[in-house]
Amino acid sequence: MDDKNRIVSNQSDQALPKQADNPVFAERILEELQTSGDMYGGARDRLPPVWQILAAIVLLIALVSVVIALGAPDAQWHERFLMGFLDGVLVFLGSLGNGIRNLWDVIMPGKGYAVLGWFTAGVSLVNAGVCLLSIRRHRQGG
Amino acid sequence: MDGYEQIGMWFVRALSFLGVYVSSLACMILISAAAPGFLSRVVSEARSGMRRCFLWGTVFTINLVLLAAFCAQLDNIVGPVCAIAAVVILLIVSMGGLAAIGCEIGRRVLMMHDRPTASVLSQIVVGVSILFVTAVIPVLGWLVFAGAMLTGIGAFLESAVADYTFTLSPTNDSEKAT
Repeated sequence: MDDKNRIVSNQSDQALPKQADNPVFAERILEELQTSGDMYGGARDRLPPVWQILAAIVLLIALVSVVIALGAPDAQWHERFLMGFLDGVLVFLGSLGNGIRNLWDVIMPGKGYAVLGWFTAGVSLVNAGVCLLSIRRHRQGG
Repeated sequence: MDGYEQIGMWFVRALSFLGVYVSSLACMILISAAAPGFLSRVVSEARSGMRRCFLWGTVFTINLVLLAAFCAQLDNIVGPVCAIAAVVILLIVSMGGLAAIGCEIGRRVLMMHDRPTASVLSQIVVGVSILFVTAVIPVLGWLVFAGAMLTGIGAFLESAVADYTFTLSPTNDSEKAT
């Protein structure tokens, strides 16, 4: 048993009967586990590797492409069912995109689509910045 | 529109809301059963930095919604497909985040009822039910619900970053090797 584990073990043995109901004690143990990385030990409770998530997204895009490509008026019921759901999502997104575009067209005539693109890129940059800050904080153990 | 039609419309709306509530609850229970440890980490992230999680959740949601709206405007097939993929990703993350926030709310509510050791299942059911019922309140309700969901989304992302940061950390890898 290394020093870190011994400290946690000793603290648990001595303090558990008295402080088992104390939320501060539980928070401290959780914090220690989190800081040491032991909390992230179980492979089952971790998120899958990045390549698997990317593969899942690619698979999802491929499946959606197949469903959209199959969307003919004389399609089978299950294809129409899927198309119905996807149509609903697409109609919502299309009207949302049109609304934002028209709003920018009123403010800057003829440049609505470009402004929407730039605005999206700007928010994506902010999102990436927040993500980098989070990575930095976690690496520093904050 | 006569009275019966109006009653019918309200009935259909209530049924739709109930359907969304039941299906969301089922999805959250599934998530919590599939990854209980991850869910507890999302809860502790939300508890330790609520404002930070809310901020990131808001930025992430606006980003994905704008991205989906932008992609849906493209003329070729790639745009709508990417738009749907973005919405599905947002949906999965928001379900995981809302499950965590529901779990925390349920835990606190059950503690008020002198049930500090209630199961995660009861915590989620109680918390999510409270959130969905609160969402029905006019004007204020959706703000509370959206706030909880955005905080949950941020907490989910923070936990995901923690997972991958610890995966990449050399000290953690060396500990594993020993």
